Amino acid sequence: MFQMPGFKQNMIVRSDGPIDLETPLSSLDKAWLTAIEDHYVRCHLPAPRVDDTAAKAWTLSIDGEVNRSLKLSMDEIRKNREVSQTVTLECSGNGRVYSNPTVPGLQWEKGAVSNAKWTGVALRDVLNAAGVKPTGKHVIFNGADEPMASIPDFVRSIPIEKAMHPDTLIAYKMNDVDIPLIHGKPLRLVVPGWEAAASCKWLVSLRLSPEEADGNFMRNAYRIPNRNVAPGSAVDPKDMIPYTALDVKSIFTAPRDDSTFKFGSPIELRGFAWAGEADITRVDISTDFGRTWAAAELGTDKARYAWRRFRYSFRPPKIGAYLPLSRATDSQGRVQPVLPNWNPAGYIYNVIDKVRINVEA
Amino acid sequence: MLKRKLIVCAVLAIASRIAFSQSPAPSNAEMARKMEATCTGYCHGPALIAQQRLDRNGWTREIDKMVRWGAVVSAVDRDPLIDYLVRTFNVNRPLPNSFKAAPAGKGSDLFQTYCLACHDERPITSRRLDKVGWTSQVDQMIKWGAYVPTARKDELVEYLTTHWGAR
Repeated sequence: MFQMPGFKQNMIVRSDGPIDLETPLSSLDKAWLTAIEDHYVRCHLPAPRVDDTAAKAWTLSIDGEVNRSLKLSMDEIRKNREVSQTVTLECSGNGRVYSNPTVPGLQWEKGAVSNAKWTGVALRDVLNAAGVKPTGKHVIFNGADEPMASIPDFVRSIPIEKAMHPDTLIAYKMNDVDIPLIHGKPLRLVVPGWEAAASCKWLVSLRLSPEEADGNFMRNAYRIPNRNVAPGSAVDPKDMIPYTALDVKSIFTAPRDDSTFKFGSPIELRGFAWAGEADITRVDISTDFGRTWAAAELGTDKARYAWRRFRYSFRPPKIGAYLPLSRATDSQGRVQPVLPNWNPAGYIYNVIDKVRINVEA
Repeated sequence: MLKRKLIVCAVLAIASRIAFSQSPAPSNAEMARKMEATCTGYCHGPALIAQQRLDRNGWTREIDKMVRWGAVVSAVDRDPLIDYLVRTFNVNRPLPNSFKAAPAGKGSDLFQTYCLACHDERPITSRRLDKVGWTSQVDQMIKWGAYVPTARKDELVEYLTTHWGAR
């Protein structure tokens, strides 16, 4: 656990520099909207120093395949129509620790996911002000974080269709306050429904290009095989494609794994389910190792790109050990798989979740 | 002449081999400090390394990638470093489970990241030791191959003593 200045709650430290923090499930369980201090943190490079003075003087450049290059101040950005989206951000590698064979990278368990309200302006409004040429097929973005030594800069891109979607944001607020430094102060790209590496922090530049970004974090990282591969096998880079929209997934956030209960009272099983650009349509629970399933109750809090709370009241028929399972289904008909589809970077781990509970006399 | 040169070379090689085998192998604590000096500090901290569970091929690829990205690893240090990483952060370590209860507070990240990397919490939570006892336990674990960041060993001992101190 890690006590971060300004962070009230404990976080699980995945890297002590650059800072990468996983949210304990008990913290995720507290609310549909994740508090800022509980929101997981992913930094590829050390966070830049951005004090309030630097934030006020911040500029965003837009160039490349545009009719006119722009350099916008914060005030100029804020002149656009303000919009908000509540978005579940999840790291591509959430659950990577369960890869078998093991793979390198941050060994996230289940908590590299959180749900926050982001407020700012539509990316397309800013791009339209610059006038995107027909040759501008990809938006390459960069943040103010700088690499050390020969580490590649964290530069990625999204295709123009996603960039021009009205829900894709340049955000300056998180949960109704200025974005904290560790989450991208003062500007963060928020690409709803997509794996969170697309949501660039400390945003300083947008470049329109005929091609996707060229560099390690686009050409090598955040890519998945274009077919199922045998676990542990090497995959030719030409057979790798970008990982974009999140898959369907659910996790238990309560009770805590390996909890013990007294026999006789119902146990509330709780968690969240999300599906990227799709909607969660149901979550089913099994308390008999997958023989039978019953629908969980879905929470009333909902938003286009946000997770849904699920609850299920389980009354154990007798004392013993139980392993409840959760299985989400989305509006695209996708169902959580029973087993993981291994890939070289450990992305998209979304198998049916489980939590161990013990019931005693 | 050539024969004499070959004999001299052979003698030198054998002598060198004997000298190497007689020099004591570096302890785990020494290798940990070497690893910290080589791999951590400038670009990332030790937690990024300590959470990995990789085989020799995996660690070799990681070291080679880091060298490409600017890490300085001498030819002499490379193989011993990979040996240490494979020995210490290997695929046989158990899956972590960070969601079980662990007392919060200063040092709890060390407990989670470094103690529970090799075993569950029971060998710790079932004991009650004073500071000397926990220091001895941590030293024993390091001797047996556990990794604890050198600069934070005292913090871990303090955490263990606070939560599982002698009654």
